[in-house]
Amino acid sequence: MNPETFFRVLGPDPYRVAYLEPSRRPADGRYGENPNRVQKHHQLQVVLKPGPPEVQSLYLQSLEKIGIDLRGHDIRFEEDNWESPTLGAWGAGWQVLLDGLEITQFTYFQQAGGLELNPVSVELTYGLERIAMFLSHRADVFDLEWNASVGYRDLRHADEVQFSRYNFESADIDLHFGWFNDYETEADRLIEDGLILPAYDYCLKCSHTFNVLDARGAISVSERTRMIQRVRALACRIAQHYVTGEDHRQKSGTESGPGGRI
Amino acid sequence: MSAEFLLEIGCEEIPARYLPGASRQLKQNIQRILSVHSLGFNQIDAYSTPRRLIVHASGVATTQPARSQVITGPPSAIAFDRDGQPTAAALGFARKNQVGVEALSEVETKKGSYLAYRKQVPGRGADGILAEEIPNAIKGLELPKSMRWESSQFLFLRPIRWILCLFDGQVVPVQLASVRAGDLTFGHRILAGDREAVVTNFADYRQKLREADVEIDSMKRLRKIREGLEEAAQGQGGHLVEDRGLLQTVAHLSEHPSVVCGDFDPGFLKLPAEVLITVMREHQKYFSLRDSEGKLLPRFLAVVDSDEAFSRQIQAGHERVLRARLSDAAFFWESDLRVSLQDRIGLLKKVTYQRNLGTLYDKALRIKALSKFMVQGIQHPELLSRVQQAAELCKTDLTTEMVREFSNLQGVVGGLYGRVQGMEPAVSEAIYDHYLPVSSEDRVPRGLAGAIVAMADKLDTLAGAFCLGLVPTGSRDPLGLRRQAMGLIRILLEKELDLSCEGMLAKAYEGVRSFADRSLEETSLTFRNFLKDRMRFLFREQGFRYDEINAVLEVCWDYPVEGRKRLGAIAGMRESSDFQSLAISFKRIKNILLKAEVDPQAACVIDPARFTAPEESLLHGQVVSLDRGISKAIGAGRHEAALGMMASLRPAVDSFFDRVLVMDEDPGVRRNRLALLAFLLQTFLKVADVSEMVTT
Repeated sequence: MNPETFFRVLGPDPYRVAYLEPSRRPADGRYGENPNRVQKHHQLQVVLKPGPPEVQSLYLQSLEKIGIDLRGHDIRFEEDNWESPTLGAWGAGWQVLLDGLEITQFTYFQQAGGLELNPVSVELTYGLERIAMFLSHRADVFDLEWNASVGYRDLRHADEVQFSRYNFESADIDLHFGWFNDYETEADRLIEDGLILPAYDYCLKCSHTFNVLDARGAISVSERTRMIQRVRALACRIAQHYVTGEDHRQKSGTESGPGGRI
Repeated sequence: MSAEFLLEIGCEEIPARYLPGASRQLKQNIQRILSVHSLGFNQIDAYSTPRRLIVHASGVATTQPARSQVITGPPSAIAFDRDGQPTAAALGFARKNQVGVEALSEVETKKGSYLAYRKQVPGRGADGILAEEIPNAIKGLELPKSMRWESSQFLFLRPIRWILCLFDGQVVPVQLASVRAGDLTFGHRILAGDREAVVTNFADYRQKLREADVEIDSMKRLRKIREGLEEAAQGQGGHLVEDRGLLQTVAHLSEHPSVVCGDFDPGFLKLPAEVLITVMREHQKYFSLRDSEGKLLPRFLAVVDSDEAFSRQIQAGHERVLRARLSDAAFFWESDLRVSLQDRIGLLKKVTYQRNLGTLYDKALRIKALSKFMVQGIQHPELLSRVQQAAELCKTDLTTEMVREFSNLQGVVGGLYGRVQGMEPAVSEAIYDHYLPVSSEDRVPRGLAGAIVAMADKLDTLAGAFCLGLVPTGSRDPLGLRRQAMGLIRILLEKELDLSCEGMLAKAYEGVRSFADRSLEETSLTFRNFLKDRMRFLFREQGFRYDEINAVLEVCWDYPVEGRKRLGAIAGMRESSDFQSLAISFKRIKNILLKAEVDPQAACVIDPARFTAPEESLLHGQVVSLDRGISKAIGAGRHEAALGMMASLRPAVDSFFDRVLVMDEDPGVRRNRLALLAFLLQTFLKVADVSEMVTT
């Protein structure tokens, strides 16, 4: 989870932000052979804090704005509660399906870093590849056109093949376990030093290292629970320090906040 | 005077699985409010869509009936003086109630006569009561998983965005979270552009929502979907793969359902039908089609929340999505098959089965040992090698990607992979079937090998949980132990396997002994009570009565097959008069022994020389010969005959009780008579504990 989301949803200050986020899920790699599952894709992430009452209709209008004629299609909000056990975060919401294709995760954040959130933020994560596929009537993500001369295949296919091999077959297990410990140690030290934002970076590195080990099939069930607990403990301490830290007001901006309207 | 009540709670999309329960509860709560406040009504109905919970009541009384209330004052004795004039106490009481003394009367109470005022209390208006109580009806819903969305911290399934609340055509001023009730509703979000409409009454409401593409009745939506599916299936020359659960779900996922038909690449038909159907159902909520020979067709039916007019363009999107999903399944299938099930046995050592119960490898070994014991028990040695192989491999599919993605395909996937990898059919079938039955409607394993492995798996799960003191309480049964026990009993019954449950449990306990923190005795007792409860439930469902079931379970819970045979015999016999009176005598014998503190299970030493009455000798002679006859009849499975023999004792028992006093003064005679009764009891208990029977 991007720090713009993880930290900004904590605490009482209103905030609005939208940014592009590359999303990496090692276990989702398919060697570039699946038409819409990849280990790295792109999301437009939007945080509305607090979520306005008309948030669903604002969201639908945003789809109309990018050229999706909703009236002729099947739009569905199907229950899908988002959860990140490593970050002590969960929310209630839906996956938004457009003619059966999941294009957005729509979440009312209830908890992050183990803390109850108030106000409740709404997070929208638009799946950009999926939406582009829909708009350009492509059945395969690698058939997308990036521009008139370059295709998505040219840009991303080798990356998918190589990272799938890396994540499933090649990643050095011992090194990763070592890194996991080192990142945890560093995050722990940074928290003690009050360097909360860098500490979160190392917490994320722990989380990603864990994901690679998981994709590599190197983690047993009981180990899995323990490692999730360890990352979660870091995330919870970071969140705790962030909201109680005396200087957090400066970091999180003033009353109006740096985030304007989207 | 009566009027109509209408409540619509407008929400963001409520999860389909919570919708029926929430709707039913809301109706009950409103109904309770009307009853508690003595507001009569003609009819009350609930409706729901993903975006609304609706309750409509007709003929609701506009005011409560007036009622009279008795307010007691001072005792009559001090209320009037000797001249019959009201005293200060009476006057004070009248003044307090703002009436004259003449309006007062006297009431008799346990403590004597008191002065009283019968006050007529007018009924309150229903509108005020509803305004007060409706928020409670909604807050009183027991919601499984609710969320917060605004600063009021109100908790609900999903955010509430509008409330329509009308009584007698007027808005009931209700507020929930930050939403105030009004007379507005909203149409279908996409088809009617969320168009708002003013509502005056229920007929008007239905009419306007129909015009705005919303059907509020989930049963009507379900019927429309079913018709659409059947019509589409016919159009495709196929048969629908029935799925009632899925049908329910999709009916709760749309306000304006229609059916869209699509194709997928026939190349995917190389995947087994089980996998294709599961991918379509679990990921996309699609229905599948088979041809007239039962082969899966490369088609699917999707239920969408849109209009038929747009089917074609919606279809294209769904086809693209399914292609990706099926590619994923093909990816799992191919990559899983690179490692044989045999080679996966080692991987099981890395997977924890359950906290404190070892790894899946340990569990597989336990299932293996236990199933060997069972094969010996049913004397089918030819099954042994197949059963042992299936037991060893049955958990290996838990290490596959396919089962990680679709956990409800566990077992099935192992069986399918086994078949592809050239395993003996009986073995792959046993693996395929070993989780069965997974529900009360589900079938038990097809073959005997599958039945044995399935029972061993369930017994190990039960023994493992009980030896750690994990017993389901109330509705909490996270390990699904009730289902496991029920499955065990059903397999024994349907395969007619004459195995001792207690014996199997003892064997299963050996396997988990090193993890146990409960003794074998304690574990066995928990298991017995648990199993008896399940059997009671099952036999009740099969139409047997409580007392018949108790009579049988008391003596042979251990062998369900035998138990059911005896149940059949008892149910057939119970109406005969000999049997009825025998049941009464039986209770009497039990009571006498209990009072005399004789252990009915102890060995009986009867000395015929000490009999003093001819009735004693007669009864003794008959019991001795019957005891052998009953044992023989039971051994031969002739339960009716055994019961008939019991009933034939009636005249001898009756005359014994008529003429003989059991509790004779002479302790030797007394002891001898008690021993005779204990022997009689033991003979009867070979069949059933008839004292459990309710006599008419």
